[in-house]
Amino acid sequence: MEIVVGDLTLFDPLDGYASYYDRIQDVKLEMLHYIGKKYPNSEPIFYNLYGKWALLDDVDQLISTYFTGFSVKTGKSPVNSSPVNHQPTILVDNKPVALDFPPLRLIRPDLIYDISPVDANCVLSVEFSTPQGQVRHFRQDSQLDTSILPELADGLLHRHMNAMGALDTLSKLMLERLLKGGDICG
Amino acid sequence: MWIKQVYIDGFGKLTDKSFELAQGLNIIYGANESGKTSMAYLLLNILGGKGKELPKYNPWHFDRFGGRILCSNQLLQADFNKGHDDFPYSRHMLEATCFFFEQERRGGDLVIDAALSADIRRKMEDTETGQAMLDLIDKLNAMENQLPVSIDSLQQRNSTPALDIAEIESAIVAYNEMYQQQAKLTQECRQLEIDCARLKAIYDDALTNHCKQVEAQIGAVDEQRSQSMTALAQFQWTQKISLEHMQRIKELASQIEQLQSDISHGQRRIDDLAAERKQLQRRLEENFKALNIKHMNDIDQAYYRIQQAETYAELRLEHDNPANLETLAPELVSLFKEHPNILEEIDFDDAGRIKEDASAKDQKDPVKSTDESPGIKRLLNPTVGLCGMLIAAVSLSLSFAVDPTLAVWWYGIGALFGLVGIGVIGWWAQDKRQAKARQPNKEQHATQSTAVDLDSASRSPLQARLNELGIETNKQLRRSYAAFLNEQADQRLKESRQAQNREIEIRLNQVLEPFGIIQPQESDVNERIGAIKQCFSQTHALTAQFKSIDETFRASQTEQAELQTQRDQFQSDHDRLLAQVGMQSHQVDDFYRDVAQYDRIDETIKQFDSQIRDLRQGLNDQDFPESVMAARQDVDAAGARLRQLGQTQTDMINQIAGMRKRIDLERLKSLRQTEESQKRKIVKLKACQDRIDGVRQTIATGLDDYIGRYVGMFKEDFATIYHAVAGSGLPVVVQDLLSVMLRVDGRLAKPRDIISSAAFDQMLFAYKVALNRIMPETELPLVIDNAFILYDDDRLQNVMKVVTRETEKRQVIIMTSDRRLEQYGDFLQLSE
Repeated sequence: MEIVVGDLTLFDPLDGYASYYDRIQDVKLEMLHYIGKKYPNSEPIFYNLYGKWALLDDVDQLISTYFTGFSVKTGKSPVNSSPVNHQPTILVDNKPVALDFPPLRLIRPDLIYDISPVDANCVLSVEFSTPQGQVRHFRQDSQLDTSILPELADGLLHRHMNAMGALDTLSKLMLERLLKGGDICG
Repeated sequence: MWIKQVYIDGFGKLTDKSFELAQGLNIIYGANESGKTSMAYLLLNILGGKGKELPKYNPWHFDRFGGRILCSNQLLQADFNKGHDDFPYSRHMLEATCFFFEQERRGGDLVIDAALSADIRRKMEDTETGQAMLDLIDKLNAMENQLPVSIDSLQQRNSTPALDIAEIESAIVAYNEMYQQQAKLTQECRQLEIDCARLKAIYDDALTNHCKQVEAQIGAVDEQRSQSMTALAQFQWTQKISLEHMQRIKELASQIEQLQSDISHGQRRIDDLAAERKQLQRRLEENFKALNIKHMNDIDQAYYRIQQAETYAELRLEHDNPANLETLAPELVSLFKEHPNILEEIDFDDAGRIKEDASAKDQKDPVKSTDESPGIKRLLNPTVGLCGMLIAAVSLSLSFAVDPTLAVWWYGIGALFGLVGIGVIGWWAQDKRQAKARQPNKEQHATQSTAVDLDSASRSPLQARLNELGIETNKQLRRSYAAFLNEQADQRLKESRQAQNREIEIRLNQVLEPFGIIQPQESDVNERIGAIKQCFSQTHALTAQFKSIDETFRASQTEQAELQTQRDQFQSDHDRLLAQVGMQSHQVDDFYRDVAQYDRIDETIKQFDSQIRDLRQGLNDQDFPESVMAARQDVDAAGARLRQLGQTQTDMINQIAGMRKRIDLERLKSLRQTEESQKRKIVKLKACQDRIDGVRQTIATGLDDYIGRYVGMFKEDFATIYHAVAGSGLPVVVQDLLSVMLRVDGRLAKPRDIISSAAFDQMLFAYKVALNRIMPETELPLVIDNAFILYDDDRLQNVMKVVTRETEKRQVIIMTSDRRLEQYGDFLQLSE
């Protein structure tokens, strides 16, 4: 049985998600573990296996814990097996097989209101202000990383400044921080 | 602030007066022209500065111009003569909100100036809300200046983690490259190990084969050596014999053998010499028989006889030598005989006469040429011949006296000189005879010459005849005639010799008879003599040869005898030595053969030992063949390469370990997080930078909205107060600079244009009080100078209610001449 796993890029830093580096790698390794369990005694062929931060000996040693043997090839991968923002697929005897493995979704929505119903394994990266009620709503969902969600409290001058309604969220956040005495530039 | 005490130094008609004031309502009563207005202006000028009215209040009787105000928080004093500009409050604000004069009703519109409006705006800004907005604007302004700096700072700070990240990532790349190289090197090492093992196996096989071959060679040589040792044992006995004796025996045997060989050779030579000698002897006997001698000692006799025969034959031949008459024609001979003086008779007249005469002169004496050989002639004398004969005799004598081998030579020399002597004597005799014969010819010639001269008449016919005979010149004639004369002389000589020849012939026959030649033909004589002479020469040579061979034969026999003697001596010594060593003679050859065999075998054994030693030494010295050495060199080269690669691999592993220590992935993650965080922060700051103008504009708009609220407050307070004073309302519209307009029939009109003076005065009071409420210094005293004098009681009561409420906020000082105000408080008397 020939198994081809492509574009896994182990230990590759994903731009904008440095905080989730370990979690991304854990998901990829969990997927390898999954493949190893599903196809025991297989010796898969890896395309684009090594990421930018991969130490070849560590990766080889790590892969050896999941498979009795393996080989690494260069060139364009015929299949995308990455579980990050993608449903992983492998080639089994040259036939694509979609793995029943929950992918990791990394979302950085422009607006908190753009968030679609949250998946089981989803990381939201939100750095803009959102109403307190909305924050509380997301905090109730344990799958959601809302640790960096800032709160936009009712401003001191809201009742005095009708013009604030025309400001965007970041401007409001900036104004809020200024009113609270926070340091924008620091 | 409120005024506790007022002391007037001099102001208008007021001099040196002081008043104690309360914090609330103070009503100062004074009649007209008692100085109420002066006091109000004094307060105004001390609090708000000098005004245009100040010169009017110059003191009338005192020099001092000014006064002092003791406020709740400070003491204010003014000396207007000296003039000073240090006034705590704005005169405009005081006039607009704190001082209300009776004369103002005749004033202008209900409006404030720009400075007062700014004060009012500043007052709004100084409120908590206004201040917060201004702070926001200030912060935004500060942000606008700070953000680029912060962004630059962040970017600069972010360059550090970026550099660190790049450094660690470079280290990772270098580490992976090194790891790949090390993996490749490991693979190469494994392949090289396989190659080494293969080459080692090849080398081991080659070495094993070589060693086996060498051992086989050693075994074969050793086997041969063993055989040789066995063979050597057979000849071991030769080593017990004295080699010195055997060497001597061998030498003797060799010498004996050599002598025997020489003897044999000499014997063969003797035999050959004997055979040759015998053959020579037989030939000599034959020649002796031919020479009619019996012994070689008689050969001289034969020689003499041969010499005699030759001499006789020669003499005979000389006498028989005919003249050369055949050259002359017989007609010519007869002609010459007919004309003995023909030379004188004939004189050819031809061109070559002079020469012919010369030649004729030469021809005159045909024997002259012979006479002109004095050297030869001198030799032809009997003395020379006798000397030759003498030498011949001596030589022949010596030939028998000396060594037989030299006798032949002496014999030959003697014969030669003998012949020479005989020849010289014979020649001399003949010359003598010719001389005698030429003498009559000369005489005849002279006679004939005379006859020719005399017979000149018959010259022509004779000449013609000569011409017919082919003689056409004198030269030819003289030559022919000379020949004729010679022929005549020869003829005579011939006749003389014929007699001698007969005698010589007899003697010649006598000499030739012993040689078996009897009456030989003349033509055969010389040949026969030549044959005998040749036989003699042969015999002579054979004799010499025989003598030489005989001598050699005899010497050989002598030498042979000596050799045999020596051989016998050696043989004796040889036998004696053999007896000493206890060997038989036939064993000597065996001994030496065995010794030679022993030596040969021993040498062979040594060669075998040497071969075995060399082979073993070769193994010990690892002197292997080229193929084995090549395999070994391959193994060594591969091993060296493997060790080199191993060392390189070890160094690489150490390098990898060192590089691995420098790769801190946790720090890399942290740096990456920091970098991304700072990048996001920079993005946010840039976004804030883009939004500063908008936010600031929003805040400014909000501030303007907030400040604009004092108009509403003023409008509300103004309407309330006016209503409280006047008891009715007005359609008031407040415009910029708090300009109060009245809406009448849908249009705005100035109040003084449409209302009465009293109403306007009440409106002005309400305006000032309302304005005071929105002013910053709302606690300043309200000074009213007799302003309600024209109010009716109701309106006075209304206005005093307003004033009473105002005293809750600030001090109120009322200057009045109206007694109706006594009910609202105690009067302070301005004048005594």
